Amino acid sequence: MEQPVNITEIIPAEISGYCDAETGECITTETGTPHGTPAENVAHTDDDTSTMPDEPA
Amino acid sequence: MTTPPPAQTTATASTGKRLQIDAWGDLNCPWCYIGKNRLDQAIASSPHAEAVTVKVRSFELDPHMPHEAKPNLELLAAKYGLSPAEALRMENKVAGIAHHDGLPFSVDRVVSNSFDVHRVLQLASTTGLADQLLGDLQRTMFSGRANVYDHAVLADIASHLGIPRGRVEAVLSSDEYADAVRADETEARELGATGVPFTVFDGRIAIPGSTDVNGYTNAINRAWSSQ
Repeated sequence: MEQPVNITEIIPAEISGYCDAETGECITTETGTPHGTPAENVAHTDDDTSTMPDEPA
Repeated sequence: MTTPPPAQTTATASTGKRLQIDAWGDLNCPWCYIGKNRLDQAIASSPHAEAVTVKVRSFELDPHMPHEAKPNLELLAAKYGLSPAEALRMENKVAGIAHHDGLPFSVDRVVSNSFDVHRVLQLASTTGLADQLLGDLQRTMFSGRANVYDHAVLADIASHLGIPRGRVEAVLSSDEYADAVRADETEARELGATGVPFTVFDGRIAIPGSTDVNGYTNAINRAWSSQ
């Protein structure tokens, strides 16, 4: 059964990324790939600063 | 989805509790793709998995995007005035995270206006297949295997799940479910969503953006225990 949405709490989770509703920009806040991801898959993450626009919607 | 242990299933059935998760997102949003996969993992590993329902909610990140499918890298470079190398670098950053999560992610995919996809997802919601359809569309689109915005491809994928192809084609040749898409978008804005994914547990507890599996697990547990 569906229920109405009435938010009472925002979980203070660590956000990995999101796409901004105003600009359409997608932001990555997650850094690194800690468990040995192949190098070709993590190219250019060395300069991975937090809130840098990544790509458009 | 992982089947919960029998004892947990019995307990859930005896209490009759349910947990609805409202998940706003857009097909064009890579973090909605990554976030959905992590949320699915959290649900699958939850002892309450059988009591969880995910309601796919519509949100267009760019309602003005052209309906003609274009290469994502080309669009990215044009929109932000980037060189091809810069556009590729940005794509590779998200691709690395998706690959780390075991998801196919091609930088060579095409993107387009997602409004019609949202309308078909609304149709799929009427038969409880929207979450599954969204997952199939995301994997196909982000893997670069096909242009899922093409109506024939979209109808193929939806009908493969058991959604009558005739109904999909009828929706795509009309404005059916347009109001439902816009109603979802209005509700998200009224709730204060400033980005997607935007996930609400039990109608009360929100996570704006994508988090990790543990973050989603904690939200499920908190929503479940505080019902």
